[in-house]
Formats: sequence, C-alpha cells, structure tokens
Amino acid sequence: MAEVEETLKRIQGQNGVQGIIIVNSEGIPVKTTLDNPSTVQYAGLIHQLVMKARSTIRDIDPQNDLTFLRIRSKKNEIMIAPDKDYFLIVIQNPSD
Amino acid sequence: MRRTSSDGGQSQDKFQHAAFLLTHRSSARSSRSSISVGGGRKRRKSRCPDQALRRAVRVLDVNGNDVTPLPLHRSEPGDVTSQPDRRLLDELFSDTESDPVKSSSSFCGTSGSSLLGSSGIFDGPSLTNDSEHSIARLDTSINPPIRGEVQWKRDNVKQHVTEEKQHVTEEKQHVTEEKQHVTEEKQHVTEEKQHVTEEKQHVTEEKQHVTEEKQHVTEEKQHVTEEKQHVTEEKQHVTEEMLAEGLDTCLSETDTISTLDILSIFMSEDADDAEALNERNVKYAELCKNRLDSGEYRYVERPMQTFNGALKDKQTQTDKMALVDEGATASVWDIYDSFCNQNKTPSGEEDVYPETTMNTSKGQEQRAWQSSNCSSFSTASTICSKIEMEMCEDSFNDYELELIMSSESFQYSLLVMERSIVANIFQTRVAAYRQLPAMEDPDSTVKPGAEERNEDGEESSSSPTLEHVLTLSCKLTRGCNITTMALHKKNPDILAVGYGDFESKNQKPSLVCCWCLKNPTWPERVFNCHSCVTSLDFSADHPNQLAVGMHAGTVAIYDVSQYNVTCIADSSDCFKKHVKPVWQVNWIKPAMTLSGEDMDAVVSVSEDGRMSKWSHSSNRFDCSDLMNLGKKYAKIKKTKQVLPLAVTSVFCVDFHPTDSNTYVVGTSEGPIHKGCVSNNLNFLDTYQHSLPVNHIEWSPFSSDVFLSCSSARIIHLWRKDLFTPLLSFTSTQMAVDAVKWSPNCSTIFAARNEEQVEIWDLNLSTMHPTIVHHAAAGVKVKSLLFTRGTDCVLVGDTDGQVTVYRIKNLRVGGDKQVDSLDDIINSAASSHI
Repeated sequence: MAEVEETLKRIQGQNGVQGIIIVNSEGIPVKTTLDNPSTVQYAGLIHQLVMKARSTIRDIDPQNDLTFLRIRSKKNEIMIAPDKDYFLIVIQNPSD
Repeated sequence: MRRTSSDGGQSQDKFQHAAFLLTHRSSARSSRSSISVGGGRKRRKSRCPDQALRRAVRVLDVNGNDVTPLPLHRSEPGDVTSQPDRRLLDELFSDTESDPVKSSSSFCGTSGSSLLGSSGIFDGPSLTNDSEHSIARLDTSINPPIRGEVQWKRDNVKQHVTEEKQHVTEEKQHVTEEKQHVTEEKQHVTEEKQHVTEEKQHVTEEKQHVTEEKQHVTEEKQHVTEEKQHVTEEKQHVTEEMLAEGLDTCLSETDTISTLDILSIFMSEDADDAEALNERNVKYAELCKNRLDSGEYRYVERPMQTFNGALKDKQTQTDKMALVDEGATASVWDIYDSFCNQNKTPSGEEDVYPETTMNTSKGQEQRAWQSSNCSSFSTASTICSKIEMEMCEDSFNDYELELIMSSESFQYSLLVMERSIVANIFQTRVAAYRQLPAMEDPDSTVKPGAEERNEDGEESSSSPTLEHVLTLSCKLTRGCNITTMALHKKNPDILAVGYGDFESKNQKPSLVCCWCLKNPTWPERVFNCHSCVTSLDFSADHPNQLAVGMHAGTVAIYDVSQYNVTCIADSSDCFKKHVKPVWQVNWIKPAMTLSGEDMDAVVSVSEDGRMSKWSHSSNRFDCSDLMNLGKKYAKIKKTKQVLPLAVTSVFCVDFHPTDSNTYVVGTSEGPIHKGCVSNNLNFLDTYQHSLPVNHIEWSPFSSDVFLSCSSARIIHLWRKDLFTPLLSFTSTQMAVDAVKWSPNCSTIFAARNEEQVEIWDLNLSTMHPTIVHHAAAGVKVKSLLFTRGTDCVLVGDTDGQVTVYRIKNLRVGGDKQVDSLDDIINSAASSHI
C-alpha cells in the first residue's frame, strides 16, 4: 500500500504530468489530483471511450482484451490503464 | 289599365262598369270552376302540347300577384274533345294572361255577356272577398252539377240585377240624367237580359266546353298516361341502354321488430319468493321430463316456422394492445463471456444450479455493468449530477479506493503507466540507447535553436567517443557507491546494481536495485542486504534468481520476480560458508554432474582462497569446494591493507563460455590457473603472472583467448595454450580494475580504472585505447559493463549513478569477427615467439 502511494507520488512528480484520476467500476472518480469539474468530465468521457474501445477489441476477438489506451492529442497525452474494477487515467504533457 | 270600383268614372262607365262588375263577378263565380280550368289547361295545351303536364304554369296579373289557377277538375276517360273550338277559345284566352283586364274588356266588347270567358282571369283587386270565396269554392266538389250551379249563379245574377234596379230607381230621384240613367239602366237591363240569355247560351256552350274540357282532361290524362308510358318507356329504354351502370341505392335500417321477448327474471336466493320460484323451476323441469316419457299424448309436436332473422356481421373493437419493442444487442464478446461463465461450472446439477444462477447473474451484472455503463452514462450531464452526489460519500470512497489500490492489477497498471510516462519524457534518449532514429515530436514546443546547437556540438567530433545517453539514478541511490553491476541474461534491459561501500569502516547495509532501462527514474526492485554487496550475477536457467556475493562472505540467492524480493537461499547458516568477502559469484551450468541435476549452480570465489560451488536443494544451501587455494599460499590481500595471512585469495574466476568445465582463476598473488571442475585438486595449467589479477574474462567470440587485468596497469591477452601473455596493453598509470570484452565486437574490449574508461579496439590499435572517457568530476568509475544488443556501455560511479554511454563513431566489425580477432592473435603469436 505504501509503495502504491509512493508510486503515485512519483508519477505525479514526473515531468509534464498534469493529473491523475482513479475511477472505480461505476465511473465515479475515487482519487484525483485535478479539480472537481475537470475530474468529473474526464471520468465520464473516458469511461465511455474505454467501453467502446474494449467492446471493439473484444468484438474482433473475444479472447482478447484491452490492456492500455493512449490518446495523443496536440496539447497532451491521456493514458488510460483500464481494468475490471477501475480505470487509471494520467494526463501528461510530454513536451516539457 | 284597371277598373276600380263602381264609384269612379263616368256614369255610363259607371253603369257599364257596375254591370261589368256584376257580370264579371257573377261570371267569375259561375264559370270559374270550369272554364278557368279548361282555359288554363287549354292555354297550356295550345302552346306546348308536348310539355309535361307537371310543369307548373304560373299566372300572374298586372301587379305580379300569383293568380295561378289550381287544378280542380279531374279529367275522366271518355271525354271527347273537339279541336277547333278549343282553338277559338285558346285564342280568346291567349291574351288574358298578359293583360287580364284588357282581354276582359275586349271580351266585353265582343260579347256583352261573354264575361264568362274572361272569368279565367282573376282580377286581383276587384275580386277581394269574392275571389277568395271563389277560390274556396274551387276546392269543393270537382264535378258539381253544372246546371245547378249555373242556375244558382243565374239566380245570383238576378239578385244582383234587382239590386242594381233598386239602385237605379233610387237614382231616378236625380235629374234627367238619372232618367237617362234609368233608361240607360233599362237598356243595361235589357242588355243584361241579353247578357243573361247570352249567358245561357254561354252556359250551354260552357257545358259543351265542359264536356270538351272533360274530353280534354281525359285526353290530358291519356297524355299523362302516355307520357307516363313514355317515361316508363324512356325508363326502360334507359335501363336497356345502361345496364352496366350501377344505381345508387340507399339502404336504411328499419326499427327492430321484436316478435317475442320474454326476459328471464333473476331473483336472489335470499329473497322471500326464492323458494317458491325454485319449486316452480323444479316443477317445470319435471314437466319437461314428463313430456317426453308419459305425457306424449298430451303434447303434440308441431313445427312452427319462425322468422329467420337476417344474419348480420357485427364488428367489435377492442382496446388497442400495447406493443412494446424489446431488443437486446448481443455482441461477440458478450456471447463469449456467457459461454465461458456457463462452462465454468460443468459438473454437478442441483448444487450447481444456484451457483450457475449466481454466475449468470454475476455475468449479467457484469454485462449489465458494462452495458448500463454504456447506456446510462450517455450524457455528461447525468454523470455530473450522479458523480457529484457520489463524491459526498467519502468513507465509502476511501474504502473502495483502498480496495482498488491494494489490488495487484492496480500495481501493474501503475507500473505500465509509469513506464509510459517516462517513455514519453525520455523518448529521444531511449531511442538513442536502442539505436533507433529519434522521431521528432511534431507538437513539441522545444525551440529548434537548442537542437541545432546540440547537433553542432555532436557533429564536430567525428572521432570515436562515448556519448552520454541515460543516467539511472534516483534519490535512493544518490550518493551510494556502486560496487557491481550485472545484466539480466534473458532481458537485456534489466540491470542489477549493487550499492555499497565496503572500504569504509562502518559497514552499513547495502542496497541492491534492479533497474529497467525503460524507466531510468526509479528502480524496479529494491532490496537490502545485510552486508556490502560485492558481486551480482543473474542466473541463466532461472532468470529471476540473482546471486549476491557479499563482503561478509555470504552468498545469497534472491528471487526478484515479485516486487517483494525474497531470498531463496542464504549461506549464512551454512557450515562451510565463506568467512571472507566473496569477490565473485557466477552461475555455471554444470556440464555433467554425478547426481544428474541439470540446474545451474552458483560458484563463489572468496578471499579465503576457496572456490566453492553452491547447490540449493531441499532447503539446504551447501557448497562443495571446487578448489582450495588457501592452504598453499599465504599472500597479501587485494586490499590496501596488508594483512599477514597465508591464504591466497581468489579475486576472479571465469568459466569457459562453451566448456563450462574449465575455468580460469585469477589469484591475488599473480598466477592464473586454469582448472577443471571435475578435478578439484590440481590445476591444469598455470599462466605466469606476477601481480594480482583483478579481473579475468574469456573472449565471447574466440574460445581460446582470455583477457586479464591487474593492478600493474597492464592488460594481458592470453591464449590458453600459451603461458605467457600474447598481447599486453598499457595505458594508464593506475591499476586496471576491470576489463570486459564487448559482446558485439570481437576486437573491442573496455577497461576501467578509477579515473577513466577505455575502449580498446584491436583492429585499430593495440597500443592505445581508441576511446578514453574520463569520469565526471568528483566521481570515480567503479563499475563497467557492456550492454547486449546495443553499442552502449554502462558505467557506475561513486555517486550512485549508472550512466549509459553510447559508443559513437566506432566502426564495428562485420561478420568476420572471430576471424579478425584470430588474425590479430595469430599475428601476435607469430610475432611473439
């Protein structure tokens, strides 16, 4: 547990990381480093996207599953580690 | 032109008028019934005999009042008509419509008493009550006895005449005009008499007329019937012609006619008459029964015809059934999931049913979770409202958070995430390390000027150099002294680094970190050893196992597969453990052992002169000496301190890369021994060397050649059959601490001392190192390692940093690696002897 906290702190301290959101299985953020409205927005939108992505992967091959999702945009990169019980979302600006 | 009442006008006129009136009235009264009808009819007939009789003909007087005669007389069949008379009368009557008065006057002109003819016209104002009376009379009997009427009318006329006479006698009192009037009256009377006689004649004529009219009427009737027949003929004509055309018929429902309707009476059982009614019912039932059996003679069957009611379709309407569309989408993975969940509980029927239901419900929940999450969170607004509600429940969230964070998958996700983030940051450098072309980030905001400067700096030096790529360091290791490094056998990205300081007085527990070159910011595994780590080696057979040799003499094997590194074996409890520092541990693959075990074992060389092979079997970590050099010699240790001991310490050993039975050991006193595992008593060969050997290594390309370095600042290249070094390399004034062959190129090796790192390329020069890289200020180079697969060198220093250098501009040999080295060696050998 302590290592997890440490790791989260390390990630937060990495170059260019703008925020970390942990979302539970229902789509409700349980831990975040961003402000509330942004968190809510990210959680809701990304949840849908991940559902769609996972559905896509599994439709192609039901034995396959989504393990990681990276969305690279002009301004930043959103990395999502999805799981059955949670989503881990990190927003980073890698050009720093 | 109108003739008003008898008051106005001249006397003659008056008389005439009065007489006219009288006669007119009488005539009107008398002959209205017959002639009018006939006239009217005749008129009509004369004009348009073909017209239908039903056409209404309206008679209007001057004022426009409707004085149409109403039909009174019904023509009887058998009436004979005479045409010419009719015509005369028609002519006579033809003008009456336009100007009734005129015609009447003209009629008067023609025949004084022929006013009867003009009676067809009803002079509106002159016939006030009389007309009404006459009209009323017209409605009476159609065929009155004409004679009687005429007589009556004559009587009336007579009465009128007498009345007029009285008037005349009254007027006799007047002047001679009255006499004249009287005489005139007399004349008038005589005229009237004549008129009467004429009237009589006219009456007879009228009779004839009447009969004629009757004939006319009959003719008209015949005409009517003819027309009717015509119409019917026309009708028949029509139907024959237009049989195909449909006729619109209108059906309307008549009232329901009930012929018999006896309603049954329902009574409650609690009513007072209920019993009586029941008895009656019973009696009736009995009667019905008896009728069949015994009472046949009393009852006669008789058929009766009833109305068969017409059948009618009756439609009813019910409430509209509400239809609900229900659909479900079964995606491919959904089907697969439910199939898998179903198969998870294959056996057992009754017991399994609740389980299966649970599973399916769970599966449904999962699917529902997934689908509901897809559907219920369709709009961000709903999410906002729901989430804001949920964010209030802190305690629940905390518990859930803890659950999540303690799960393994979360830790793995964190790992991957961290690596991704770091890869984003260090993307260019890692690409350089892996010798990949660095992609420029198109969205990066780095100024191009800075990049150009870097490029310029790099381009200026085209000579071989070491280029700094990465630095593995973290706050844990900062300031620690790196003692040893080892690369993972299977995964060339994993590096184990030992931190520790065995030269200082206070022996603090040292650190071993397993780094992954993908994440240069934090080591993947960190664990402590109770003593300073001096040597590390990864196992080949069990890639997770890391052999650690410590300064205290302990040999331990750690399992670094999990985040919590566990110690598999520790030699602390072993009886035959080393008590002196273990300088090197090696995993060897035993070629053949008596016990038949195929696992690789750890071989440790220690300062006490022993080289032992450790075997880990059934919780016992035992060693067996491969060679013991300690007994024979007592030499000075490698350390700066000089201790009087009679033990020859072994500093390094290296097993042959292909033949794991043979090895070479470097001792502290100088000679290098080549030994055999199977023979632990005697060395096979001894190579002459005078100074302590710090490091020895077989060439990975050429199996006959090995390198050794010593404190004498000389690096020797040996061939195993020659007992003197084949080649010697000197470069610096300081002792060479280690020498390593490059795994990529056969002619390259690296040597390090505390100040610098040297890269020798035997192809280029055997006299001087090709690259000399000085350590950064303030740090000393403590460890050196070549990376596999890339042209990089790992350098560990006293500051706890492992620096990855890329060898630049060094031409790496082609395929003939072994040949090139052999050529060099052969040439050297030839020149040697």
